[in-house]
Amino acid sequence: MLEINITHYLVAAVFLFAMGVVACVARRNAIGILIGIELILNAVNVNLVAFSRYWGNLDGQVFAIFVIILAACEAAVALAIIINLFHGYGTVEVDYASRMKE
Amino acid sequence: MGIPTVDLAICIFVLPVAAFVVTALFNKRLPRRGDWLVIGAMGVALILALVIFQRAMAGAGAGRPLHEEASWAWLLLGRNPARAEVASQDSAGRVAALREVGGANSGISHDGRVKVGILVDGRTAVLLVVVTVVGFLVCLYSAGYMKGDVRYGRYYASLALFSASMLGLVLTDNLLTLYIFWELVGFCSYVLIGHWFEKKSAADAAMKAFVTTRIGDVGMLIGIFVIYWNVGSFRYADIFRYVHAGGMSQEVTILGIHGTLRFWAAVGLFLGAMGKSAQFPLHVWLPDAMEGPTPVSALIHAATMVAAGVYLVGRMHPFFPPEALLFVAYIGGFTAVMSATIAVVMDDIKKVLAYSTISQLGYMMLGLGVGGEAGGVAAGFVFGLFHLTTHAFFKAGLFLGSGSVIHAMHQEQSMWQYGGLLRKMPVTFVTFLLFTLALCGFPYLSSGFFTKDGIIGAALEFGMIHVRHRVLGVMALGAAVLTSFYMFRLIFLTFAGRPRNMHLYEHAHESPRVMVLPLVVLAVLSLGFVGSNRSFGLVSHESWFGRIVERPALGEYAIEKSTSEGGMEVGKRAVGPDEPVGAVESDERAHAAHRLALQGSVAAFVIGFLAAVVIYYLRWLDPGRIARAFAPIHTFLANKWYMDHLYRGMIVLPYLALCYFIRLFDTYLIDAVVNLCGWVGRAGAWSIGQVDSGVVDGAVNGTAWTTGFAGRVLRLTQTGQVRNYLLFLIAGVAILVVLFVQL
Repeated sequence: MLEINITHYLVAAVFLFAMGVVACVARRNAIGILIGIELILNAVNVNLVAFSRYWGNLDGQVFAIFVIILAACEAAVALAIIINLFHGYGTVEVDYASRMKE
Repeated sequence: MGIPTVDLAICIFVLPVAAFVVTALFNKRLPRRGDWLVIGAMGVALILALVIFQRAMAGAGAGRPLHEEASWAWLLLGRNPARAEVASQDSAGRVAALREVGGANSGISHDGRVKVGILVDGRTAVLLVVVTVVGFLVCLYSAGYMKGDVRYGRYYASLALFSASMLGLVLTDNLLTLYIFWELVGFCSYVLIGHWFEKKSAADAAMKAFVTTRIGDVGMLIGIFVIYWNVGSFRYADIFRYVHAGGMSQEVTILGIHGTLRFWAAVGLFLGAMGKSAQFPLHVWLPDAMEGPTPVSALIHAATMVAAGVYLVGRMHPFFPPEALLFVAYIGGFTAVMSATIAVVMDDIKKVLAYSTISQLGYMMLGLGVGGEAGGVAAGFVFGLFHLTTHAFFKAGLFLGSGSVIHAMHQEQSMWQYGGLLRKMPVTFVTFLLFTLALCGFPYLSSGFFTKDGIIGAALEFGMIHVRHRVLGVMALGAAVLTSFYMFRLIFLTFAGRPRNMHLYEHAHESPRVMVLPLVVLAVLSLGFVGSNRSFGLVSHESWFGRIVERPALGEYAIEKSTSEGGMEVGKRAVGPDEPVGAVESDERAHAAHRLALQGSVAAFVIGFLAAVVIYYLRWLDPGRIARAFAPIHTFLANKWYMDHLYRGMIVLPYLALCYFIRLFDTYLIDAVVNLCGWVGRAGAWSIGQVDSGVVDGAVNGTAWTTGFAGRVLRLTQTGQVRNYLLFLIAGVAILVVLFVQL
């Protein structure tokens, strides 16, 4: 049987991170970018929890709870910005937000 | 009566000075431009001069010749040679004697300053009267002649300055102030000749006069320096004492001529006199000086300034050694003859008179030159100076008369336009005739007769003593013949016959009273009594002039006779103050000479007169045909013996060539150097400019460009695209992670 050790979790987190980066960079849609950011954050969470289990203490998990809270706040703020953007441009494609305030 | 003579003399000098200062500064604001001021000053000076003259006459008559002095310390000159150790070729005894004489010099004050002062004696008194009389009359005459002139005030100021300078010259007792006044009269002559300086000929003539006399003045200055260097003083009395004690007898050879130092100094002084008194070869300025107004010609170039040279020789007569006096006599004689020949062919009335003046000055020099040897001490000397006096009056009269004629004929000066003027200007004619008679030496009735005859007599006597120099007497008589001829030629052409220019003749009229009065006064002064032995209450062997001039001169010679080593005739005993002056051993010779002179001068007068009558009055011979017949001679004379051409070729043209080359040098060398410096400066400035715009500006611009470039490049990152920013963000994080891991 293949032994599952920390490495597998880290690799899984890296995959998630990578997918999150790609989603962040390569999407026109603002919400898609947000999704990407969430993915990045969640990858980090997985990483942290894995290390918490590895070291046998709860530091990682506490950090992960903080990250979750932060993610929720930041998502709320970002969505507020996106709603504003939508009011201004009638679309959520970020390409249109290239002009300075007139 | 009680005023000291010296104070009177100072007043006489100061009056014209004050008149000059006031007129020079304020003439534009004074009524009539201040001519009354100058005339008044000269009038008062005249009266004072007459007072001094009267004292001189009285003193001479009573055996106390006038001799008043005063002096004041003035300049501190560097070295007083008489007190320094002088290395000399003389014997020790002579050196000691000279030093003793030098120590007694009254010309240096106790603290080493040169003393300058006033000397009033017989000669001074006579000259004072001459200068003030002629000066006053000329000032009066000018009021009429120069009426309406454009620079009337300046003219009178110059006249005043001239009178002051001439009076100063006559009054001084030393060579230093003499030289100062000498130059001052020369300057006034320059100003007055060039009075109408808008005429180029007048301006040139003024320059010519000044430069020519200056040449003579250089010689004079050298003479003065040599004298001071040896004697240690400038005063006449000191100089005489020094040379009579045997000083200045070192032999010096110049240009192969051997002469003592005294001889060369005397020649130097005489050079100055040659320049001022228009002797050959420095006479060329006087005819050109006729460009000035006629009263100026009368005052300066007939009576006074040109007489300064004669006066100098007269004053320094005891200083001149016999060889120098011989030189003076020959120059004088030659000048007399030469200028008389030129006067014969002149057409301009003033030029004839100018050459006549030169000729008469030659007579005076001749007289002074033969004086001291012949006919008792200083007979020629006496008559030389006496002729100066009488000549001043009648020559000034001639010039003023010619001025009347010129004025009446509207500035026409050529005699060929005149004719028949005696009917229109009778007073001018009569006075002019009297002056002419005086000049030609009409027997007994004219003053000039006595003086001219005296000079001719002295020259003839000199020729009898020194047979080698008989030619001097011949020169004197020859000039007399020519004088008579050209003067009567002038009279016949101007006053007699038919008028040649009817237009001018009709407008001619007698001159106004201010111009006629001086003529009359001078005519009276040219009459016989002025020159004769019987005037002024004296019935004696000698004339009044001889009395007041000769006796004091004897005093200066008395020293000479006893200790002279210069070759003076021994055997003339010293004469006491009361004895009539006459030659003792040579009485017979003197009589013979004077008889010959009388016959000769009367004959000369008659010959000249008849020749002029025949040619110019009776017209038996036509002057034009004679001129053509003797064409080469006539051309030679009409070109004034080519003297002007000679000077032009020998001096003026080389000098101008030199100036031209110096100008070339200046333009092409000096200016080139200056221009080069300028060009180098400009090139330097240009290159620095290049450096400034290239390097410095380049650096500044480069910095700006670099900043702009950086800005332009960095601006590219500001795309405004959110996704780009996100990309950079993530890329940056990735790089940081890698770095973090590496480190």
